[in-house]
Amino acid sequence: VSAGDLTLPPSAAKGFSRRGFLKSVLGAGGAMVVGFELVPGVAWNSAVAGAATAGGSLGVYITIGADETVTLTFPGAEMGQGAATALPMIIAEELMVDWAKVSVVLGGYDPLLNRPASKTNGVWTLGTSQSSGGSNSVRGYHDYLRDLGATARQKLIWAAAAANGLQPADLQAVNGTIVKRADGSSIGTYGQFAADAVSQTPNDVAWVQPPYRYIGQSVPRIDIPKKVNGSAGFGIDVRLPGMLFASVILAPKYGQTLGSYGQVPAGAIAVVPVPGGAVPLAASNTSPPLAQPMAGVAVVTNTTTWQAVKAARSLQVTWVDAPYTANLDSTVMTGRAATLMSTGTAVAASPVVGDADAAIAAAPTTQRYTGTYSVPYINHVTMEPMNATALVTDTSCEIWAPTQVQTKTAEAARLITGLPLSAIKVNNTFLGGGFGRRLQTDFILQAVTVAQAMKGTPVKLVWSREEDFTHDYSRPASLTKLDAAVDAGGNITALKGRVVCPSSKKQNGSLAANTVDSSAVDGIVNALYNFPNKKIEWVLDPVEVPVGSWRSVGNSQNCFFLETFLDEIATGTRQDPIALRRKLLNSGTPTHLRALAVLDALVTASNWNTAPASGRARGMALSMSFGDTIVGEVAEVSGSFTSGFKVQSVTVVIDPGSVINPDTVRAQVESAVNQGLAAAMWQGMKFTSGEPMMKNFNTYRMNRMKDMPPVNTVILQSGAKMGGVGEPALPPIAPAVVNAIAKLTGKRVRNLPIASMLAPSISSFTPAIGPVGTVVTVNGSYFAGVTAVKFNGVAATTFSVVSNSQITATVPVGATTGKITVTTPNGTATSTGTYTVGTVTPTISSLSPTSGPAGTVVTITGTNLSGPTGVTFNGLAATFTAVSATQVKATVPVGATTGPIAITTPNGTATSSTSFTVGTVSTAPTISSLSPTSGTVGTAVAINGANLTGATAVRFNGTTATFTVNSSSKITATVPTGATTGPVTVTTPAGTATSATFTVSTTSSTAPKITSYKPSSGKVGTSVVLGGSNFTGTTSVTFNGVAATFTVNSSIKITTIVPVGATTGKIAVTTPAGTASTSGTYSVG
Amino acid sequence: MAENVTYSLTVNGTPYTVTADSGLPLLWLLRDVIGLTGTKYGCAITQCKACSVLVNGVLERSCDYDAKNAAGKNVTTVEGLSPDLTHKLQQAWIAEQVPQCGYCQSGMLMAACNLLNKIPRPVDSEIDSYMDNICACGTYVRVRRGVKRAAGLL
Repeated sequence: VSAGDLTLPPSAAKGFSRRGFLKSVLGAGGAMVVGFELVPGVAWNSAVAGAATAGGSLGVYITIGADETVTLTFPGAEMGQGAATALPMIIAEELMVDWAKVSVVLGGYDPLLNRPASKTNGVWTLGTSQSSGGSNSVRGYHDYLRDLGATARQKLIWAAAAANGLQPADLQAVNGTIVKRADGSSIGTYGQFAADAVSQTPNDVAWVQPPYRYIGQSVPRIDIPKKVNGSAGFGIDVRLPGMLFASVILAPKYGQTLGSYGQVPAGAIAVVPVPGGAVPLAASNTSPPLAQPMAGVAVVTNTTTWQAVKAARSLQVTWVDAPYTANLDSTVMTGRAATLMSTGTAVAASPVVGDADAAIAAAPTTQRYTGTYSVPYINHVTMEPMNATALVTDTSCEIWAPTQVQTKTAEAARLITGLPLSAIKVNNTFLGGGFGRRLQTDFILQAVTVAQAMKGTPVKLVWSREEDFTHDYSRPASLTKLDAAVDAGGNITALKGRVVCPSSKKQNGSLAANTVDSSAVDGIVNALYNFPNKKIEWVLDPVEVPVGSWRSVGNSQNCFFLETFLDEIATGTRQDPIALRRKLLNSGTPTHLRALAVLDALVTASNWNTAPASGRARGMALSMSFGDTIVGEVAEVSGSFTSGFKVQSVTVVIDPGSVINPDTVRAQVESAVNQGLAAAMWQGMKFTSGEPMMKNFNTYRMNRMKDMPPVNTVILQSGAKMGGVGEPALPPIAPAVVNAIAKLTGKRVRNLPIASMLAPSISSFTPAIGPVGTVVTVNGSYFAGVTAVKFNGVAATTFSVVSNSQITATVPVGATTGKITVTTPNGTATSTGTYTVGTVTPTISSLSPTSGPAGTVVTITGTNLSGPTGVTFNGLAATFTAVSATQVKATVPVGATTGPIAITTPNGTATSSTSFTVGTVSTAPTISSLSPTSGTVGTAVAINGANLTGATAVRFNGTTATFTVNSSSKITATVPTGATTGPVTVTTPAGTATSATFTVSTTSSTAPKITSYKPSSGKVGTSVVLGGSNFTGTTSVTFNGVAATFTVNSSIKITTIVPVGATTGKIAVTTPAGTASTSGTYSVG
Repeated sequence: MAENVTYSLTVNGTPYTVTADSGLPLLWLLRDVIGLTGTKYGCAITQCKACSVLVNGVLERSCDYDAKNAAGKNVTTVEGLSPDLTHKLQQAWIAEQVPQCGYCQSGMLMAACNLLNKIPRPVDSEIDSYMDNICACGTYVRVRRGVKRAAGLL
């Protein structure tokens, strides 16, 4: 069997110009994939087909083209459950057409596609709505579509008979052709007779008999090819010409109404308040009424959904709390439910059997069992966030939406626009998950509201994931107490249940006084067991957290309660859990026989009577729901409350009576097991003062590949009336796992999720050191319900559970250095590291570098620098990074001045003892003076300056000299041979400094020279004769630096007198050309 | 408001020159600017991985990948596996009837593509570690089989 084709959007034209619509859509430049074209041929609309079948409305479902193509309409929502394949399969079976030639279109809103309600005297009456929920698509439409396909087939045969002068009984339909029964010869094709067939009135309509061609075969789903190449059109994928993009910001806390909102934010073109609070939904014609959406504001852009989300988040909005908002707090709600459990007014759910209260009261206490169980709020979390696209004009409204409720979608549009339903067109897209979330129309109301404000322009409205998480209609929390009496033979003689649970019907105003919302008690009041005495009563929890239908609805929690309780009784009475259940399935009714057959198959498929591998245990559960589909499941589990649990495998036996597409049934079983398992293991919403605390996948754990066990599915087809398959496999998985855990560990999980019972663990804490009063953040896992945080055994008096993985605790008075422990009801976790208690004054020991301009990253080293809250440079705040307890890096801020660096930590402020010098500090050498400024080769010259350390070269007008670095401010160099007059340069790694001109004098020509002096010693006043050369022009004569009077006798002779104050030393003669000294000393005295 | 920037990139072999907000993530460039809607928005915080694509052969979460950083690079989306369902992963996905609602499957397929590029014959633990996309429908059992079929292990 090859897959058919699937086309979007639907065919129902209803007052719209199909061709006009196509033209406008395809004008989008390759935007939305439409791919629909009017098929030449005959559309069997209600006007013709309805008359022919005495009230049945068949025509919108089947179109046969002149080219023999067969187009079938799927009336529901395709959200992954495969109904868009299964329903057309039913028609194709009866119509006797080749599946490979079948195309399927997703039906939009059309009352002619409403659910069939009843069949009387061969005439079908349709119900009042088109919706996909309650595992009702296939079973709900099966009989109707069989009749519809069979009628169409006979119309074709009758038309062929009339055209050929034959009797209908002489002909049969074979694979799209009409053939003579006698010899099998063809007299024509469906396409040839389709036009005439419309008006035929066959009276010999009968269903095809087995063996079937398609029914019961695993036909590949028609939608899957489109889902592996990106071409499947989900609601969020709709693109229309000129389309605007909108997103919403909704009340962050339940019950809040819109206060005020700001101007159109940057990047947006409009702001539109969306319905909430006061919208007149009482005018709704649907039953139950449309749920009240939460108040909010939509922001519209003309660019991208991303821009719309961003702009919506930037919008300034004020909200007004409802009186109850602050009390929508998990702690408050849990307490209130407990109070209702003990004192609330209950209504008994029907049927009540016998007198359970009396039977339990009469039983010996050793034969009474009791248990109180709870489940939390659970969100739907479809992978495709809520969205819808709408185009409103003065006379029409067209919607493209991933919705489970076409009728309610149209109704929502009617309420907003005031247009008649006949002017409203709804195109169903693929749904990126439904799970009951898309039974609500809040996002539809919003999209139509915005489209009405932007009249004439299509608007796609998409929620962010955060809005999706925080504005769900959650599976309600339930607190349930079960009591039972057991006789000496281990038979349960009485069951009493008291259920405290919110009600969506109460919230939407459709709950009649003194009645029970069946959603609260489904799965327990109608459980398939035979209890001689039974009473289930319900106490309404009037909590205002919006609740709705989550896959399998009340069964999702009540099966957990009952099947866990039965397991506890089996353990208490030392019975095999399956044996215990067999005793409760003893009525001999067809239902009980089916249930026993499911248990038999479950025992075999799960190897129930063979012990599992070491370290593993099995648990089981049984359930009947959604049209009497019976499901038994066995989970095999390993692990512990300290290491966590792993579900190793799941065995499922399902009896839905009969099935259309077995592989789809298996897929739905796998899907339900996954969703129920994820909820059982991990999930539960928390609320703080009205605000949902889980806002995205980082705080709300979903299963991933590693969490999903293999699922072995056995399908039984007992032949009972067809039941649902989308939901019934979900309820048993939680109790099956919990029962396995009880067997494995001896410990019973009575409150979901299981993760709330896992022992805590500590992965890290910060800071690692601090005095009493320090707030320490402890990270780890499974911190829910923390009862104590201790520092080396001393309990912190103040701590706060931030999340399941984080706690903050204040170091208590009396605490000492040691390990941190966290205690929950599930155990105590101990840190691997030690927390040091003490006054830990921070200190700074060094800076590196010690100077630099703004932007320089300075490494500050010291002690106790953990958790820095501020770093300043001479008082100016800087940006910084905490590196360790001994190191912080900070960046010199613009505007900083030279001064100390200070680091502030929770334990005080440390200030550096040395200054950090701000500015561009030059390290290049400079020369301030030379001494002397002239001289001959060989003269020692003092070069004075700065940054001379590390000099690599000294040059006299380019000639390299030998030198000695005396200090950073002085170098002594010798005028080198070959040097000429010019500047002196000093080169260091940081640069080269250049001096003023140094004059190199030549000895032979001008410089004086002393070659002799007589005497060589004598008192002050002694006359001394100097001999030498170039004495002409002498300007001074000194004795060891003390100037003397002198007479230049000739260029080679000077007479001088030892001056007062002279001391022993050299005699020097200075002329403009230089200074000459004696080689020896003159001794004064 | 951020400024628009203009740059060129190649998506599934087709060159594009685009002008878009300078902060626009690749996911939205693909979906709302170029018009390839196969890549899906799920969380915008790289948790669900429905937005996975390959950029120059490297698996990236396009919800958190600055689109302008893809300038000059080759982006492969689910549409680029093959338009006619001939890619071995598409064939395997159809054979094993993997998708349900299908919304996460684009990301699943790109993750599988990355896995088989790196480990042509993966074992279960490798599939667990590489294929950590979220699927709310719970197609994990079939995704695992699909990977193995595409790897020739079935």
